[in-house]
Amino acid sequence: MFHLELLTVGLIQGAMYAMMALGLTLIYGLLRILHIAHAALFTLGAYAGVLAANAGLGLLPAAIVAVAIGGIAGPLVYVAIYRPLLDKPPYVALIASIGLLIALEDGFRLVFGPYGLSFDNNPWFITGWMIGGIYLNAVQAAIAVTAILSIAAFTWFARRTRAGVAWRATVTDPAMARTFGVEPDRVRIMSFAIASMLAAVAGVLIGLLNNLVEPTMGSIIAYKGLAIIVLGGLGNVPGTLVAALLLGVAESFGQTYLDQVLDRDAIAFLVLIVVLMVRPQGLFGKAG
Amino acid sequence: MLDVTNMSCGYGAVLAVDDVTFQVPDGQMVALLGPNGAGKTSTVMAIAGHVEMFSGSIALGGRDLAGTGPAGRTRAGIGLVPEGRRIFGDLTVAENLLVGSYTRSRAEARDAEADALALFPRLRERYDQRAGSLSGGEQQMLAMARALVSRPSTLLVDELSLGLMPAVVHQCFEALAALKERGVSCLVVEQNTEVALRYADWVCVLAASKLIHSGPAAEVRGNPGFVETLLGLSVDRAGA
Repeated sequence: MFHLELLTVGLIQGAMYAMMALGLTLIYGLLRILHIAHAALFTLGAYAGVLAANAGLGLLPAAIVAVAIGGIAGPLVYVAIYRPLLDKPPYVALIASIGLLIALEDGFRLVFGPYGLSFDNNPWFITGWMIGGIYLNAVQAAIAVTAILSIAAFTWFARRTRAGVAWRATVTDPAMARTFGVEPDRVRIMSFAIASMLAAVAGVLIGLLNNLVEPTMGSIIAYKGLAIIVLGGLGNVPGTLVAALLLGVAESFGQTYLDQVLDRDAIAFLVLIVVLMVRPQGLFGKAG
Repeated sequence: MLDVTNMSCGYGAVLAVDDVTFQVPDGQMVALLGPNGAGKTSTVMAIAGHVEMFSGSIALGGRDLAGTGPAGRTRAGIGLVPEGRRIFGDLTVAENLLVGSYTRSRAEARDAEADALALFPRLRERYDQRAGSLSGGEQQMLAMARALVSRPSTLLVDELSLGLMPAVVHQCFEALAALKERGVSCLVVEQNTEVALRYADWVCVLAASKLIHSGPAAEVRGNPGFVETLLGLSVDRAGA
């Protein structure tokens, strides 16, 4: 039963990583950019959520506000930062991305203070259920449900809509997709919107889970997100989702059994290093 | 009618095609022949809007295509079957056709798809399969069908026969001949001179970025060695 509980908690953590890493891998697949600043949109979403909720909106409307702000901010980041750098070598965009993350984190610190904000009223935090002998609070349940719904919605979009198919064609061969009338810039804007909405909702949920939103809450997640998309085989969506869940579970078990030796984040990077030593192309990447 | 007039194109400072003039009249097939590196693919990609034109003009049905991007040219009636096919390997056959018809309305796309599948029944059997899992011949058919669903008036086909079995090559050329009957004109780049001469109405030969021959296919049909002869002559002339 204890192991089942560890597994459940790990899968929920993994589901949150999956929402973050999905956006990163989408953007990598399309632009070959490692979008470190994705974590800043996660933090932005969390701030938008906590401010909207504390302004008197319910948690659900506050989350919707956060998602909307993420959906606007993501494309702005693309247009303002990445688009002018598309012709430059990829490390230029990477450096710009790291700079943007630092700038936004300090921006959050300046505007909202260094100590973070809590939800005045967080009913999801204190509501919980025993399900099959495992205690879950409503935030954990919401993370699981949101991850499943958003990934299902994304899959539906990619497989069943014209825009989704055009997006996948652009990932495969941008020049040919453009020949047939798919506008690559529009596809990129759409990808940043989708990725940033996922990051924003993940930010709100983590803010609720910890009942704390702070300027640097995205830092560790930024690097774990990179670890996950490398494990998943860069640009590989199913691989990324599996890697996210595996990392969540590895952390949850490691935190219990390796507690004396390593902390949670060290375990994540240990997993990354070990996997990359054995399979440099990632768990699900193509060799060569 | 596709009009290429005094066209020069290339990459950055490199001239790939120098002052080339030829036409592809409506409902005709023109074969563009010549050795590797002569500028055949550059010519095709310049017409499709992927290679920068330095001077001259390209017009389709009297409309100058200068300043029109690749998608605009597809809308104007150019259909591209590129070298190496470049199908979307991760997408299914159906999805490749959907992208091919992206410039058309849903209703137009449906009709165009039905026509393309009638021309290549094999694709109907493979409709929901990943394009990357198709055989080389099927991929070539898909590349042609993907171009056709945009309802082009002129099809540009680059290296159709490369890596394909002779039977499949003939099947593909028969499809082009059927399209010709419907008034679709075609510019084919071919290494396989013999097949190209059998189906083409007109032959152009490029060598070292220049057009060195332009004439009716009937004159040289049954003489597939004529390109080598021409090349020999042009080398002699250069040496003289």
